[in-house]
Amino acid sequence: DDKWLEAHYDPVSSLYTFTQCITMSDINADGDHKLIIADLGTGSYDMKLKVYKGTSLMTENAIIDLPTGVVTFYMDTNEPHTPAIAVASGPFIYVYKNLRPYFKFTLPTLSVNPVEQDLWDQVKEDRIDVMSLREMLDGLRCEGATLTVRSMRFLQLQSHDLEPFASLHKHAPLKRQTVITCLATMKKSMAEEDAISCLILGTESSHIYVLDPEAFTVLATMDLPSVPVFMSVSGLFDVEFRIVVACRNGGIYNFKRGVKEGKTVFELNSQPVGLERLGKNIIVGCMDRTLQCYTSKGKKLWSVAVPADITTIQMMDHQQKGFKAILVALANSEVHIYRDKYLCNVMKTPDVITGMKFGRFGREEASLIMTTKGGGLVIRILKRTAKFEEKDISAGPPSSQNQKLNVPKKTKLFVDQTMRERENAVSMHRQFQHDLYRLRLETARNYVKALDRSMNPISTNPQEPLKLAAQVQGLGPIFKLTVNLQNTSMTVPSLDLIITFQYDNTLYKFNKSIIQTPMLVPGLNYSFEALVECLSDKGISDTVKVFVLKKNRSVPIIAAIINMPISEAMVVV
Amino acid sequence: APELAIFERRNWLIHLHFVRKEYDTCKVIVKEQLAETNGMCEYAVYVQALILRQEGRIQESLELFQTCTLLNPQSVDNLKQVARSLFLLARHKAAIDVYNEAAKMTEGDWEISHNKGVCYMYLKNPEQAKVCLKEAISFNRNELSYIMLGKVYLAEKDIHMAIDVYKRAVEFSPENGEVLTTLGLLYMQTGQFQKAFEHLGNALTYDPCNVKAILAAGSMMQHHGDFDVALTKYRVAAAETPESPPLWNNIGMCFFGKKKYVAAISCLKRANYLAPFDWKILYNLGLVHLSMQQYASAFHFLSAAINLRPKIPALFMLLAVALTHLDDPDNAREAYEQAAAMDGDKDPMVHLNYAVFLYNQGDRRGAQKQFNSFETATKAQGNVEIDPEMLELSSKLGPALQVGESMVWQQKAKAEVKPPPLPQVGLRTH
Amino acid sequence: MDPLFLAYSYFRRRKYEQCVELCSQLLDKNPYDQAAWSLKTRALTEQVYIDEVDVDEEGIAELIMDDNSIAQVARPGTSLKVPGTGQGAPSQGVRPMSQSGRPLTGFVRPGTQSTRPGTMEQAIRTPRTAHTARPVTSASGRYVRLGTASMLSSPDGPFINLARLNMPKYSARPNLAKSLFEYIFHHENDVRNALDLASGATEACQFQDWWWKVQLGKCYYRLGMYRDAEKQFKSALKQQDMVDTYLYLCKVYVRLDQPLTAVEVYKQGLQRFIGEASLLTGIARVYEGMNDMSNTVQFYKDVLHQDNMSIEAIACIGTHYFYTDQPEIALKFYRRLLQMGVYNTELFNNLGLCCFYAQQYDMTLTCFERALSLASDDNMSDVWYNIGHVALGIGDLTLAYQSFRLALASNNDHAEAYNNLGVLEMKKGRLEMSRAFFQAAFNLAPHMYEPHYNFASMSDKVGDLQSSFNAARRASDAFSDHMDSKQLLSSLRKHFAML
Repeated sequence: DDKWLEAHYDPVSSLYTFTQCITMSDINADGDHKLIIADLGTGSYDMKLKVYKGTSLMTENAIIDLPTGVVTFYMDTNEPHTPAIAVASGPFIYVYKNLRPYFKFTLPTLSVNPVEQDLWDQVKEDRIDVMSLREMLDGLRCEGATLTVRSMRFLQLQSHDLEPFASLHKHAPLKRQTVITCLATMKKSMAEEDAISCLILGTESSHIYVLDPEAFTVLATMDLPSVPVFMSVSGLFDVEFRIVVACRNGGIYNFKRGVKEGKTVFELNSQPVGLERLGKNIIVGCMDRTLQCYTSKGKKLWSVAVPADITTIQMMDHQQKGFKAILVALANSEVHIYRDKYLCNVMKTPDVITGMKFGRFGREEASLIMTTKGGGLVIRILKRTAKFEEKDISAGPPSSQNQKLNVPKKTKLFVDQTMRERENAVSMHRQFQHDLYRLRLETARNYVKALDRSMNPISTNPQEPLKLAAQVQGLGPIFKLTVNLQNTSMTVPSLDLIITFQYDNTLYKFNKSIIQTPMLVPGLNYSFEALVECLSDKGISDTVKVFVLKKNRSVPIIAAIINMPISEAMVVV
Repeated sequence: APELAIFERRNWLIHLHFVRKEYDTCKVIVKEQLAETNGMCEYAVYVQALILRQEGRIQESLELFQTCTLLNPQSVDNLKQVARSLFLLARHKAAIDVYNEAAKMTEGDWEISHNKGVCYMYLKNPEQAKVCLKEAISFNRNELSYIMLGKVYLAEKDIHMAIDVYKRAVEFSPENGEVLTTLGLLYMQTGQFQKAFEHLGNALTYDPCNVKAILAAGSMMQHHGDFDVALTKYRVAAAETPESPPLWNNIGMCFFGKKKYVAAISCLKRANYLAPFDWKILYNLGLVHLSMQQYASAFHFLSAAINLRPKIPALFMLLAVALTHLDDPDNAREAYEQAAAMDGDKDPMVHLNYAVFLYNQGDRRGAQKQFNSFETATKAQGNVEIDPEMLELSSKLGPALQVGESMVWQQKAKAEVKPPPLPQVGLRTH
Repeated sequence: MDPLFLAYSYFRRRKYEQCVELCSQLLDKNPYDQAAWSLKTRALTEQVYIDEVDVDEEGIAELIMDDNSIAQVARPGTSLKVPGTGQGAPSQGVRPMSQSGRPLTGFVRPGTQSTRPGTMEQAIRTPRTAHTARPVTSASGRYVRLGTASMLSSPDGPFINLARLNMPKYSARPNLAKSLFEYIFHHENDVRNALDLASGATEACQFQDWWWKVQLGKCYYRLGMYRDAEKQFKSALKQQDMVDTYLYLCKVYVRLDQPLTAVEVYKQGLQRFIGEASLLTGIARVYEGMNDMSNTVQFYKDVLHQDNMSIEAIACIGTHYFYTDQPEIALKFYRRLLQMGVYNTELFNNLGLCCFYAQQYDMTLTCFERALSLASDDNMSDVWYNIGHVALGIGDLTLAYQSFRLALASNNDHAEAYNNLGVLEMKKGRLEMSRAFFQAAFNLAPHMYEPHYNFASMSDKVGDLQSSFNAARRASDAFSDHMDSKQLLSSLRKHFAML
């Protein structure tokens, strides 16, 4: 790949992380941007915040719960002017300054259902007992009220656990807490690189909070119809800003300053996998393998199909060259770079990429950090001489146009035969017609014969829509004969049927000679078994006929012939 | 008191793995969450149901969605998913009921209206389907609704309305290959070839491997006689779907146009082997064999085509031609009668050929009558270009009929005029 | 005339019964008459002699509990158990596959038709009465049958009581040992005793006699000890080149699933015996087993150069041409078979089909009539099935329907007929019947992709997307390149993935 330098690849860094948990920032104010990754460890323990200087791990801090997102932001204007790292995890945001824990912010609690609050108050004062508490809470839940975790847990317990649980928890204040789902930053009043930024959080309760960085108070709250998953933020909080949010219901919503309710931009047909904003356009990667672009008004500009499932997308904003593009990581271990809707580069990676970030790393302006599914870390740097063509590299007629058609070849013999036909067309035609009539007659005769003897495995009688299939299993001398009977109609059940067999009784012995069938429900396949013993050891076999009879009728409805396989003799060693 | 873990704490992780299609990891996390919350974490159950649906286990997925509705009866989403699962299991009536319930809870939901429309379509209630789909479009101009609405109109054979709908769809999403191709095909059906070609060309620029568009565009090129161009386009399609009967049919007819009869026959035979019930392929086979003077084979293919589709007058006409050469004038006459009766007066070729036949049989009066019908039919067609062969033949026959015993040319009017071959447009729809 | 001379003359004239009688009389008079004894053994053997080269039945035990497989995942083109996609072969869309995953061959041979079944249940169930695969027996099956045949023929009990034979004594007597060995091996089917005798005899002649090595090899092969058999054959070859030995050795390699080695050995044999038809046939069979059609046809053509009468070669080449769109050439080949005197249902059936597709309509139906008249119950269904196809080609749907029903009447398990009946019912609009037919078809023959695909597309039309998806997946498994089922699957997946 000629545009990117492979700076580092470590397949065993054991990093389990996502795009939203990777960021690069100059946390020591020494001009050397560090790489900050929140590692989810194994998914249940060993979560860490890792900071890389260059290609080696600088520090590691353990985190308590799984990190949902990592950002760096300038909290204040004090010296030394270093940014803080914010890690969102559960309902908390942990702020680290100079790589040491600084502050823990807790999300504001949500409102608790007043009836529920009342109930627990009553329990605290011992005014009601646990059983009635349970009943009332259950009733609340069935009406559809959202309860706190405590009440939900309470409802799941066994009766003997209710009392200890209640006494354990009743004195603590009842709260309903939600968790953070996504995290972003927005500059507050000035647009410089090191100006103070606010934190933007999306929560599971479908809200967005804007936090003031100095006092960690909630500056604004915004509502969404569904839980936010991806956010893209631009602007200044005090002046004018825009937040574009992709939610779990597949909708994209837009927020402006002063707006409390999200305005729908567009409803996607399949779930978004990543969201980025390029200028005024919103670019979304979707689960149905497309990359789509919309204006902020909701008009679809273009849609490009990608060859494999998208795992994540990331914006590539090379400020020096003034070049903006979208990086799309695919499940076939490739990264596609799209400039507008044109594919301008394809990068191959050693493994499927799960997280990507483009930006300043170390002292390099244009580096791309990628983490892979297998836990590896890939760092690539864009060459200074790299140029991305405007043109689409996949244009032009497809190569298959140059392949010749696979027309079957005809031989001279064929041509000769056509001559023959030309000469003898009339007689050939007559002969064929003549033969055809004879064949039709013959077939019809045989058909009628078969119908008479009912030697059909599928009945032609619309009153008795049945289908019969039979199988033989075993090597002998004892075989199992399975008869499968199916009622092929939609609605008519079959009653009063009997299965019976006809066989040579010097050769075979059946353990059941008649099988009564129950009522056959339409559409289901019933199987009946009979054991057959081969009495001869001479290695000969014969056929067995299976008949399905209806009460009071002398002609069987359907029949089947089974060729019994040759029985293995009892081997005496 | 110890902190109780919030039920929804892993929802974001489950969601992320789900959208990346990392279903195995997702399932593991879902299982953990369900164990931890004793099955009460709604989103985990929801995602589990979605994954089951992707794997094709729709019945199980339905049951899980129903659990979701129990956990959270206020959620419209859950109801919609239940309805969708019912739809996928072909229980359309039940699906409509659930959608109605969901509609009570929310307004202006495109998805509900659209899916209701689709269910009505399956229940063969096009009126209701149209109502719902139009409603859906008013909520959200989504190309899927347009496409579905177009299909409903097509099912009712209302081509003009369908064209209208697709036109609007094209305005809305100009790059959608399916919409462009369908619109192109509809224009072809109504005879507006220029527009059709334009749209098909567009479809091909966006997706050069779109087999449907290639077939349609190729057939139009064949109409104009550009056989070589059509063949190059077909090569692309052949690389994509090597066993497509309409493709081989069209390729065969290209060769026929280039007068390579043997190649034409082998392609057509392959098409026939792959799709024995397709009357168009049989028709073309009959036609080619007639040109090769293999009348017995021609008869055989044409009679097969007639058995499959008894209402096409052109088939009877060709059959009659074959019979004429097989020395069976009585049946030939019958066939011509059938053709003429079925056709009314629309196709002049039937009458012309019948006229020639009758003339050769010595039935002057009948021939004259047919010739008159031929003239009326030609005039009725207006300014459609008349086949030069037809003109030539008619000019010879005309004077022969009016002239008395002495004729300019003595031999039998051998050349019957053959209608243009039938290229096939669009893929076989199952 | 001297009775012994008379007996010998009977033997030469192949009148084995009389020869045996005479010898018995002679032995009654003089039980120690070595010549008479030897002659009698040979006569009895000749009555039931079968050329071991062709015997290749694999029993269930061999299939399931095979210790000899070398590679679990063989590279494509190197294993007979995993027939790869052929080069130069028409796809499954054009040429039907048999149950073992290879295209239907032109010629039924022992051993071409069984494959490694996945489970014991499949092994017991599938090929019992099915058509495209030979029923699987247990190992002893076939051989016991041969043995019992012999018991039927000697009314006064077995001629030689093997339990009381003194092996070493007989091993030392070369003139008696050979005929005795053959008797034990072929007539009595007692491989163990034969093995004893052979090993004794080999020792007795200091391992110089190639004949004994070959016999040892045969015994090991029967017992399933393939590596030992291979050793024996190889050393026999070193001593004396014989075509038979090459053939046996290659049989061993084929059983060990090393087809490329087998081809190597055949080629070596060909260097020694230039143009030997049986070696060429062997190579062709191996290539066919690996699905390499271009080489197969090449080698069968070579066989025909050497031996114009090889029915196998003619039939296989004919089938190949038929399925590659050149029915007129196939017709030529089958006509030759007719000239050679082959006169059975299968041939007329094939002739009829070739005539029809080569547009020689006048002869088509007469061939089919002949085929019908010659058909036994097994073949009848196939003939009716093909008549049904011809009817479809004419467009006569009633005739087609009747023919397919008749095919079913003769053989209730004819999956292809069920499938086609399903398609016809669909055309008539009787969806329930067609659904039942398709289900029957794919239950009987899960390796065929057509019933799965038809079921899937029918369910899709009705809107039952779940069954459609499952069926389309099965169709894709059976024939992964089928564009239509791939398209169906992707459109269904899109449906499922939509919000």
